[in-house]
Amino acid sequence: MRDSLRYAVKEVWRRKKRTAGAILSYFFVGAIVVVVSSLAGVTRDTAQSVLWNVGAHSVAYSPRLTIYGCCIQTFATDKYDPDREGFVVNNAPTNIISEEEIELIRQSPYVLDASPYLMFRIRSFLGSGEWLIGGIDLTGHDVYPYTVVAKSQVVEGEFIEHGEDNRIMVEDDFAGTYGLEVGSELQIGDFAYEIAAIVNPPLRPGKANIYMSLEGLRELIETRLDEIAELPINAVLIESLGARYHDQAHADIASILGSSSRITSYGCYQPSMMAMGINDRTAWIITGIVILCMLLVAMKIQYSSVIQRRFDIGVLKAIGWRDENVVIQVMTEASIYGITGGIAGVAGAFILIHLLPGDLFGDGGRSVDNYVVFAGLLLPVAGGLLAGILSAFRAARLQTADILRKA
Amino acid sequence: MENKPILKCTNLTKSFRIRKSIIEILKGVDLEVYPGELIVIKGRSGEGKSVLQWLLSGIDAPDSGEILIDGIPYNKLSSEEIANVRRQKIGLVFQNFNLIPSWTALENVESALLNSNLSAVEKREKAITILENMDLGHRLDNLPLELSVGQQQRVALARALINRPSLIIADEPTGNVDDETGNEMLNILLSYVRENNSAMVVTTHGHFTGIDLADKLYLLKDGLLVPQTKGQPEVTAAG
Ligand SMILES: Nc1ncnc2c1ncn2[C@@H]1O[C@H](COP(=O)(O)OP(=O)(O)O)[C@@H](O)[C@H]1O
Ligand SMILES: [Mg+2]
Repeated sequence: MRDSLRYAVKEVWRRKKRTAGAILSYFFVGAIVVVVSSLAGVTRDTAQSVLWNVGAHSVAYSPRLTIYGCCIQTFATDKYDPDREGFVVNNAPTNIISEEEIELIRQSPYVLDASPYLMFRIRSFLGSGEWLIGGIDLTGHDVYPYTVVAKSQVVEGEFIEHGEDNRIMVEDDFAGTYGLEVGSELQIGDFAYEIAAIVNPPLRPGKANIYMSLEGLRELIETRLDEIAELPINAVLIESLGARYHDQAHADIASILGSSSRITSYGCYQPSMMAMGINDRTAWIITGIVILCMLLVAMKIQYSSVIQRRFDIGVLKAIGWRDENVVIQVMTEASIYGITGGIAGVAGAFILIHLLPGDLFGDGGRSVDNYVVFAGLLLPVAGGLLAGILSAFRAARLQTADILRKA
Repeated sequence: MENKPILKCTNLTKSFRIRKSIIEILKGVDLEVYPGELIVIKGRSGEGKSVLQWLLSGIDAPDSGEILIDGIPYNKLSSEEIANVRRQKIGLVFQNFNLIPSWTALENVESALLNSNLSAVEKREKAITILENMDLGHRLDNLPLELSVGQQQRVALARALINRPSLIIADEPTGNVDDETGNEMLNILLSYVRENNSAMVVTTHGHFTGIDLADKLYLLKDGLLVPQTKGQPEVTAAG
């Protein structure tokens, strides 16, 4: 046994090119497994965190059939246009939601946070049409950036802050339509607002044309309606526990706001999750094919090395080597190739991962999971041993007499 | 000779299928080899001398018939046991020496000790000693192709003799070398055989300087061993 090991080491050392070829192939197998898994893991994590947030944030409201309504007195003033103005979300007239209801929603186990939002439709003061205004509670809630507009979506100017009730932000398209610029003024009803920012949020459940503070919008609404519920709110911005709890959160909210209530989020998160899965699978299939090819190359090198040595093996068997000697030697060589290649590959992958720019890796950083390291080692070793077994059997089956006759 | 034969075979047959026809090479070979005997088997090329030698050394198996090595039939032994028999009892000398080209002289000789109970150091020392006795002490680390034909031949003989075999099987050992080298080999083999009371079976296609020394001379023809008469040998190989 020890002798066979010695002969294997000698053989590995003597045939440097072959050894380099086999080890290099296993090196690539190990390295590809680790690098691709950690990059794929990171992209998957990032993608999922995006989707997670997408699914986790939504807007709840309680639609009603008509703008004229129960809870608010809708006496038309001379300024107010009852057919066009009112509390509207997603083009639907809405009921008023109370602070207590928001508090109850907050207490649902599937809801992380809930914050008030006010959406009011008002007639246009520049030509015909209507404008949709969003009143944001700017007092430090984490939900509006995901459901309404985020600081990162400012195209020009500054995001408004709490207390700036006479400053507004307008959507890019809206600004374009009416030729509005940062710093210019916009008259809405009785008030003149300074445009603090032009923003461009993507499709969002709480999307409006104009954004201002909750307090500022309430002040404006007071001048439009004769009688109004104190501190009106008609939407709740919700952060649920995660995309998966969307349905449970909805059920809880429905039991609080009534069965006709709606909860909106991006409808695309489910199909995009599926698409992401397909992409993921494609990447893995390609990786798998590459790995398989490298494995085959390495195994071919090992196998043909045995065929090349058939003369040596025949002579050694003739002078008294046992089959087991040959098998152990070939298997030892195979293990050396697989283990060395695997370890070098994993080590190389770690180095590569640390050389790659850090922003390729998400919050998890450059850490590599243990099971990935394990797979990076296992595959080359398993490949080496499999090739070893195949070629060892081939070597053992070689007929000494045949070999000697052809020598 | 009252002692037991080291090798005894009875009625060996061997045929090969070449394409669709079956060619009988050996058709019933009987042979007894006693310790100390030099057996020479003559035969034209293609008569089956190598085939017979492989059967005798257990490298190949006959279609029928029995071969006893030291009284034990090969066909009762596992392939591992046959390998052990070959290592411990048989020294093989090949026509082309069959040294492993990528191994040094020392490694080639040492390889014959693989399954012996010696330690690595002992194996090395034993191989060095026998090579030194063959005047190759200064060429231990040379590859076969870096040695002269005569030196390669001595490496091959060192490998064949290092386990002190009681039977030497040499298949046309002088077939590929000049007379001088051939005689050198013969001297080495004969002195080994005499000193150890070993037996030797040599095949030749005619040109073999040791024919006169043979205890028994055979002609392999048409698949049979035909005993040949020859003049009384001047020296017998037996001690
Ligand atoms: N494995 C084999 N398959 C087919 N034919 C073989 C095989 N081994 C030997 N032979 C044939 O047997 C005959 C005798 O071969 P061999 O013993 O090598 O002759 P020689 O007397 O020259 O040593 C040859 O015709 C050879 O082709
Ligand atoms: Mg021959």
